[in-house]
Amino acid sequence: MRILVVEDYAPVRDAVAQGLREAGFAVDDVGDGRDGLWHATKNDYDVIILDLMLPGVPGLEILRQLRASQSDARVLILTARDAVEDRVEGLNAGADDYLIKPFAFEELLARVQVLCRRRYNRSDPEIRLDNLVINTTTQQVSRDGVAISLTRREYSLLLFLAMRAGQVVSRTEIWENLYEFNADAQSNVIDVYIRYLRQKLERVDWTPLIHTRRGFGYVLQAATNAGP
Amino acid sequence: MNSTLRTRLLLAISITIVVVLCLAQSAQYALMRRQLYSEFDQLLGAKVRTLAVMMQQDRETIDIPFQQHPMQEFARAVRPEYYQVWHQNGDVLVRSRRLNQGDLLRLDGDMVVPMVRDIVLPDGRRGRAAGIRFRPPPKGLSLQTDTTAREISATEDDDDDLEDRDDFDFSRYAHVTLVVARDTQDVEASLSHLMWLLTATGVIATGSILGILALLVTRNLNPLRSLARQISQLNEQHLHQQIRLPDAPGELQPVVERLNALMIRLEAAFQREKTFTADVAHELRTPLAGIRSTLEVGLSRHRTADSYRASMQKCLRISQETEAIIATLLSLSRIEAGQSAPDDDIVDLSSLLRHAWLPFAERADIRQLQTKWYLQNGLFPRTDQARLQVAISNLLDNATSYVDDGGRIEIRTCLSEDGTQISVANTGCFLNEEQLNRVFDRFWRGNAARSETGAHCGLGLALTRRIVEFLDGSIRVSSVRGWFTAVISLPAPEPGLVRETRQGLTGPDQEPMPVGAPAPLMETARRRDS
Repeated sequence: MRILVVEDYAPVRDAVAQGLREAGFAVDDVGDGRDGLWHATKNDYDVIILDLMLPGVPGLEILRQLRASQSDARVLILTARDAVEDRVEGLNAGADDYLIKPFAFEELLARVQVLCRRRYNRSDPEIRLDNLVINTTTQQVSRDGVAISLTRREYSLLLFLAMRAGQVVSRTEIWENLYEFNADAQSNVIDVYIRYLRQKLERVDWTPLIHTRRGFGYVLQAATNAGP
Repeated sequence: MNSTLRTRLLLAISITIVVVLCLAQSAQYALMRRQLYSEFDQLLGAKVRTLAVMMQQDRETIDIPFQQHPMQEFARAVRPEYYQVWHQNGDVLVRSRRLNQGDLLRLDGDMVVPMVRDIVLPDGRRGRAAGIRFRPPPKGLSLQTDTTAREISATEDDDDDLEDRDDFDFSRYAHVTLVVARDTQDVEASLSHLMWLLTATGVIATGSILGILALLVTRNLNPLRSLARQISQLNEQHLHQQIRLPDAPGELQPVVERLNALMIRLEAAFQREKTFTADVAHELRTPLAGIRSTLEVGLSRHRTADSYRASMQKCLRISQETEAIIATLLSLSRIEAGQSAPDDDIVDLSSLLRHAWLPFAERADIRQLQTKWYLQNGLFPRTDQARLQVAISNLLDNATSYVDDGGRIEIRTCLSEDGTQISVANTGCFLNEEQLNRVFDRFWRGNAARSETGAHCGLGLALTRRIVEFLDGSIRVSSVRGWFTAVISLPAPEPGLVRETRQGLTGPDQEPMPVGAPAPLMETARRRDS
């Protein structure tokens, strides 16, 4: 899950970005409206956390341009402006959620997770696939009742595949969603993570879940298809 | 008495009307009375003269014809008239029968102007008597016309030798006094009738005038009542409502206009306060959000001691920033409330600028700024040193914060006609007209990001302006070709205080500066290398 944080106040920006990264999200953070607008329109984010009073380009302007460009990124406005008319204006401009500073980080996290699920048309915080259960709230993964311990990156990869279960996703797509904008990892690192994930998720008596589509990428699904 | 305007008006007008009406009617009554009595007296006088004309005398007797054949008015039983005739020796020659033996008042008037007096008639009625004293003509010579009578009366007053003019020796004939009296019942009745008429019309007129007046006054005071009602409905939530009095009279129009103008100002003030409160809430919430999210994320999992320390340091820094914002807000509100009067120090401007620069020297070094000083010698304005230092520090802070990296800052002082001028300019700032107009708004930060030092919460210039205005000075800003310049003008110093000093100016880090002796301005350019 890839998230953009646009916030000019560094302490809030840093804390939110750190907290979200630790929760398994790939986070880009910018402190300026112009950078925010560039990132928001050039990259595909699942959720954008947007401050309203920004230097350069105001938050609402970013939101309008984002919606005008047909982006379906979910937008959460995070601001100190608490008046009803401000909230209504923000939501009417196309925001999906509105949170007022100061806020509880847990609440922000929960709202971001809701927005992520909504982006993939899911409402249940638990994703089930065959006997695999992913709890997106507690970030616990189990298969056939056996808890599986994953690293942050492995979990992010699994979640990304699970959200698109049944769809083939390319390495580039995975890489873009796992790594932040200025990460220096290379996309073949994805193959390494897929191997780690397979080792942890699959046993001889369990059906394989992660399938390789040569030339295309990977797909997470329960039934084995005799595909190419 | 705290009576209403309506009551006061009505009371004053009614008293005036009643008094004027009473006076007018009394005068009218008195005039009528005088007229009636004068007519009465003329009639009475005419009667006396008529009777007198009828009398004649010879050497022994005086012939009084109406004695034998009394006229009807002297003989009647009801409301009779009376007459009485005296001889000049005091004997009563004759009196009307109705007098019985009573006497009338003897009145010795003359033929032309009979003497008339109020009397009480013998039967108790009020009446008037007219009397004349005259000399009845000898028999065979009638006393006739007025002119003759006047001649006779005139001759009476003249010397005796004139009396012999017509060969009559009038002195041989006796004077008699004739008095006729009659009651004034008719006149009294007329007067009493008139009195009633006047009173009744007076009362009716007063009543109807007062009624109409009450109606008119009430109607004309309606705008006042409407104004009072509209004012009573005003409160701080409805300040945008204007008072409307379309039918207001001329006197009320300025009141309404002033009130409306006051309301507009009040609403603006309320709006400013509301905005300010919202701004303050926003500004205090943001650092609070920073502290909270830093702490929450820090506590969300086990971390190394260094990581905790970093979080705590960050929170401490945010608290200090918040404290700075609150301190600025407090000084702003103290100045706005005008709590304390400015001190009256003689300020060494160059030294003040040098001290104010110290906290920003490091920042200037880090950002590789090129700072130029143009300080005029011997400027000692008389003002509040502590407050001026805060204002100047704010300008220096702004300049060092918003200048572009490696940019230039110019600080100059000079004495102009407007007084002492302190100007701080920096490069790297492109503000348009609208943005320039907003730089003094509280919490306005332009395009600059909220800094992590917390000093730039958008209060600096607002505070600076308040301080400078408090010191009776002014501040203006301009943005030309990337240079942002703020100029503080302080009131002109007293002439005696402008002294030429050769003390020499020192730069921001206290190195001695070359003194440009002939030039009023001194330039010190230093390239700061990091």
